[in-house]
Amino acid sequence: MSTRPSRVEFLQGTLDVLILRTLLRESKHGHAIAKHIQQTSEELLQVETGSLYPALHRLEAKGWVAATWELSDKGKRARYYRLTASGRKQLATEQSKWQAFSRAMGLILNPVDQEGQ
Amino acid sequence: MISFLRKLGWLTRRRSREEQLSAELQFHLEQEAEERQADGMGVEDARWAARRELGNLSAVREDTRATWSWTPLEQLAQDLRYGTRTMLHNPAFTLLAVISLALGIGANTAIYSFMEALLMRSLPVADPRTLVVLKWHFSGKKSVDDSVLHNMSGQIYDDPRTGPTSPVFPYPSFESLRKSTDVFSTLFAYRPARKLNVLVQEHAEVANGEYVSGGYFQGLGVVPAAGRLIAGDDDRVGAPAVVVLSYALARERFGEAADAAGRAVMLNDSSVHCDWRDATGILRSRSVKNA
Repeated sequence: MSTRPSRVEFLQGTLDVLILRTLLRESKHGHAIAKHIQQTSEELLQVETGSLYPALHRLEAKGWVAATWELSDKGKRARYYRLTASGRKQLATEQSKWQAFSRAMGLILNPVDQEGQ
Repeated sequence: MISFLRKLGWLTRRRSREEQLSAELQFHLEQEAEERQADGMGVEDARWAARRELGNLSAVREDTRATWSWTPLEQLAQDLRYGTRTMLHNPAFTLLAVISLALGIGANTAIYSFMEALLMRSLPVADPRTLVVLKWHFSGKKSVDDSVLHNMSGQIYDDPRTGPTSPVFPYPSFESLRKSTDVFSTLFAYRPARKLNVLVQEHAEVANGEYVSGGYFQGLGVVPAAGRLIAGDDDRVGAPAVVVLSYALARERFGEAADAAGRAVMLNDSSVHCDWRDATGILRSRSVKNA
């Protein structure tokens, strides 16, 4: 059970963009969002429930996601979140911001490419 | 703006939001437990593990609720509640405050409505902005005595910019001005008749009146409430004398404006100014004085 790899801490503001990205293809309920982030990040990122639901409701308040009650595949009522048009726009801006940021981090932390030549 | 409305909606459905959040978290716990059961855990163990994983449930709810709260409005509501409580606690002070506020607001309203009527409200005519008042003046002369004018009945005053000035024109100059229509579409004259004795159905009273020329009502673009108004054809030598009554006077003396049209009234002593006159038309309310 405790064979999970060591996890990385969430950086401030990353959860929102990860949720938005997770909802890009289909609508999901909170639990599925957490699982998807966990699995896609090869278990490196663990979404705490304590921050997931506040984040979902915050995104809903901003109008980036919309929520409806639907039946889950097991026939239970679950609150499904889907991306709105403005959420899609927000995801695009956030995504390019994070890509630029991670590139910058990579350039500084791994200057090997240039030094090795 | 949309976010504002959404939060406003949430405020009214707060209770249902709470229930929804409980159900949402409950669903999360069940999913988590089922997953652990699938991994081979016992039912009870899985339930507890899921519960542990979620952490402090009320903290989660508190944090989530914080994203709904609409702090400025909630604070306002709190302030209002507090204010009401305080006022109920001290009724004498409240009464005093309310009375002084009422008096203050009342006085201000009265002053402003007075100023509005005086300064802002336009004349009750078709196109007030096209109206101009003509005056004449003679420049370079110190007083009337120096001018060609030696005697006139009417008002002449000294205007610092234009010198001796008067709004009263000799009738022949009015006539000639009226004939040239290249500047004004209509030129009309009026003169206060001051206090008039009005005798209507053997009931006399004093009223303010004005003498007007034939183009007066046409020029102002005023429509009568009943009958017809004084027109160009009334403004000739030998024409029968006619009068237009104000709406208020017509209502007061004849009951209805329509009843007054065509009725006879007597203005002043018949020997001085006028004979029996026909009340030709009745002005609408909020209109100029009877003429």
